[in-house]
Amino acid sequence: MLSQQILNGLVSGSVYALFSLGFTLIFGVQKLLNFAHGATFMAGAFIAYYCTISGLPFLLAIGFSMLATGLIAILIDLIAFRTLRNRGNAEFPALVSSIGVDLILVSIAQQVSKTQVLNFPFGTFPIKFYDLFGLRISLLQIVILAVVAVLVAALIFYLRKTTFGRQVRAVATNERAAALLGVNAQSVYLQTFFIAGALAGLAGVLIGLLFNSIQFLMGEPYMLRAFVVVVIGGLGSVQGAIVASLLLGVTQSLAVAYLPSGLTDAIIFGLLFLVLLVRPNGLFGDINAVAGGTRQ
Amino acid sequence: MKFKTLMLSATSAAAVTLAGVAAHAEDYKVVILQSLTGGAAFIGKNVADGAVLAAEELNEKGFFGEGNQMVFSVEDDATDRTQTLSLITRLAADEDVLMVMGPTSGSVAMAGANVANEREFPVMTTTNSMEVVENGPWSFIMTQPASITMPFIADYTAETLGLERCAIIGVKDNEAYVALQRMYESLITEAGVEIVSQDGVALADSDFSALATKIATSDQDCVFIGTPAAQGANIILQLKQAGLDPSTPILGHNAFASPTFIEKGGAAVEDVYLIGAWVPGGDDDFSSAFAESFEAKMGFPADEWNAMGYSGMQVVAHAVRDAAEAGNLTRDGVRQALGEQKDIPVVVGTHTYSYDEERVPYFGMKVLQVKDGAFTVAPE
Amino acid sequence: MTTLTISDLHVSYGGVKALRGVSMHVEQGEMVALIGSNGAGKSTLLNALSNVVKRKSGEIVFEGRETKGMSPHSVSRAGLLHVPEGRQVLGDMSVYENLQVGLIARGKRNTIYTLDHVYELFPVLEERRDQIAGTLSGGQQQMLAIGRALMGGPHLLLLDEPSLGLSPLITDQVFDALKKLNAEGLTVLLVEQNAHRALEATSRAYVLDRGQIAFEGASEELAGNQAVIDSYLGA
Repeated sequence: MLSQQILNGLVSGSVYALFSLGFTLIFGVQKLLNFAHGATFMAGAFIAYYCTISGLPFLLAIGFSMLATGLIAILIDLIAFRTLRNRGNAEFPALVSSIGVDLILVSIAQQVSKTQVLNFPFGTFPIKFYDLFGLRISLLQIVILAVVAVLVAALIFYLRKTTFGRQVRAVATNERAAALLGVNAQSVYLQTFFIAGALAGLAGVLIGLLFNSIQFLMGEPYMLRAFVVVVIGGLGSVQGAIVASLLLGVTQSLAVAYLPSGLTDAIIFGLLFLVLLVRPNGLFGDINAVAGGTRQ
Repeated sequence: MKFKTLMLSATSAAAVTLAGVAAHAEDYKVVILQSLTGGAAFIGKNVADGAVLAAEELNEKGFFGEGNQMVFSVEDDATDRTQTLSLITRLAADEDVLMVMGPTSGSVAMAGANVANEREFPVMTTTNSMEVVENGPWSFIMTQPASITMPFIADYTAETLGLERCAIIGVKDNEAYVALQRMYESLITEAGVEIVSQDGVALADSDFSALATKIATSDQDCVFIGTPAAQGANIILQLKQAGLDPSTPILGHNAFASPTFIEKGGAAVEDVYLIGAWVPGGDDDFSSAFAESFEAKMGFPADEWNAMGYSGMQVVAHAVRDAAEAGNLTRDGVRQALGEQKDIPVVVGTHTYSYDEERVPYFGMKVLQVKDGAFTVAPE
Repeated sequence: MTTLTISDLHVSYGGVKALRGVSMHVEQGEMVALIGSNGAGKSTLLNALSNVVKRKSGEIVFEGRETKGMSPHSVSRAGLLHVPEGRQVLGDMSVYENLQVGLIARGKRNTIYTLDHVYELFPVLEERRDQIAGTLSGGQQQMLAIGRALMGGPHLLLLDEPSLGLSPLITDQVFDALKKLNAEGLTVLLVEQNAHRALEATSRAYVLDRGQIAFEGASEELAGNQAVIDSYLGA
């Protein structure tokens, strides 16, 4: 059972990674916490659900959903962050305004779904199981692990090796210096919000599919985990977020499997405190981070 | 809407003062106040639909005697305390209204009970919370408290199925669900069933992969799941995907007695045991006739809450008729008659409905099983 | 041809008048010094030129084009590149990556300043191309900041206190590089507190005092005017 539980944890963790990457990316670039990230994730699942039941092929529904959540995230930037960004001490007002956007999106979803739990129709994705060295693994789990691995690699390549990625990191490090070098910070913000939103949307679809459940509050537990991931991994660090997500997924699986019920959250936060005790800046601290330091 | 008939207050005032004078045709005014909108609409709207059908049928077959009839209107508590308070206060001020069937549930029902006892105005709330009963002599509950319902599934687990080692999954962040789970645990423990594991999930959780693997690979001969229908169906799906032995009995309480359960669970919830007050399609003459006439009128099959509303209205009608026959057609007369109702034929549970001395309703429960994608009565 | 013309420029910071009617010009190929004591408004002037701070009134014409309303990144993409005070290298990124970010301002414009050119000017940048910029010494960071601006293909280079915190030896190296660049045709506006260095390197100079131009003239002439130096520069 141990290896099976580690596999379960890795699958859950890889979806946490998808979710947390966007969150940490926005934090890295803006030094602002986007509380509406959970609602964006939820919106991804909702949009793909309604596309699917109205007859759109599933892959197209995913694509449409990612595009839509990318745009929602841009809207969040324009509504909740843009005006605040230009003033000092934006952290708290931005936090409040993003919570506001979160509440609006959640209320809309509650109305649309009439508070019901939705799920993708049976057969949206083929249910197949494979026996791999005594491990029971579903086709969906394999696809999720592969998709997340490819996307994470693509994101890292994008940030590290492309001109746009350099601009993102330049803005993250020092927005004013970047502007003096010709970097259009507004456009960088819009693009990072789009990427973060699209990744969150995809995570929503995958979670909705993997765990047969789409509901208006589904973003909340993931937001809480994203905080843990971002703190354990190191604020703004992409690699840190990935490692911490997988660590969190596996820890959680093992805690459910081997410890008395109800201790899971205590264990997760215990892990958080332990990491902070040994490495106050998180596993990947500021070294190699996409961005470090505080908002300027 | 057809059932939103409002009657003229002049004639009704006459009806009340002339109560007991047999020669006059009488109107008995009752208001069905349920959550037609808001969070409890899935209960309230359905209860109202069932109650309206019952009242129409009773009037049609002359239940209240020559020329007499029940005049009813349907109002919406909107699952909102403020709206409920103002509506009940307004209704209480209308002397023609004998009683209210409602409000629906939770704090809204409790608010209704408060006003009812203050204004000496009978209300039959849909909830099963004993707090409503304890609030005062004017507030009643329509559904059975868990202390009555849970023994049905606990006995079935321990005695009928003779199971010995149960894994329990409950909801950790909702008191009502925790209370049901605790009750089930203590009942089966008393009956000699060992509890091999207890796990709580949060209502917002959907990732049960680790839990499912743990239970699928642990040594048990049954799994009890005390969660809402959709979440329960999802847990069962993930248990089966984690390789739970398909022959392991899975049991749940009456939260599963909803079409949502089968819709969300599909083939995975086949053979699951649960308790319910209503067997879809009916299981005797009266309930089958109800199922038929409800579907004919509404265009969709009756669910548990439709059947509850239909049954509740039978009890209300008997109470009103008893009060009239006793020559005491007042709010107090209806209240007394309601608390004394015994063995009223209904379409739910074991088909008769009674209030005991503590005004706790009893109509029994059915142990159901999912067969071919439908709820059927489980084998004895 | 005139590269930069400033007419009657006023800038205020939260009610404080930082610049009060500044007018000056920089001709193509010139290296001009802007000197003045601490708080005279020198950095404010450069920030106003790159639109990092908004002006209250006045005109700034760069290569025949009024820059009013342009965003800072558009100004730098037009070829007006500003090496800010304190270098402001991108500390988490390598030397090479810093230089690559510098390319963004160039866009599709042609320029003589290639990566090889920058490495030739500052060989240390090539030696340390993979080093994280934040770990360079102050002088190396200054060279990187200038090199990075060169990658953007400047038509006018604004330098804010390049000698700040540098040893005399390193300052010499930086100024030698600037003179070389100017000799190759680069137009430079140099802000310095170190008046002697600035006047020695440039042909013309402005003295800024409490937000106004107090003196302008040939650098050589100014260097010899002890009265001006004493009263405005306190050196």
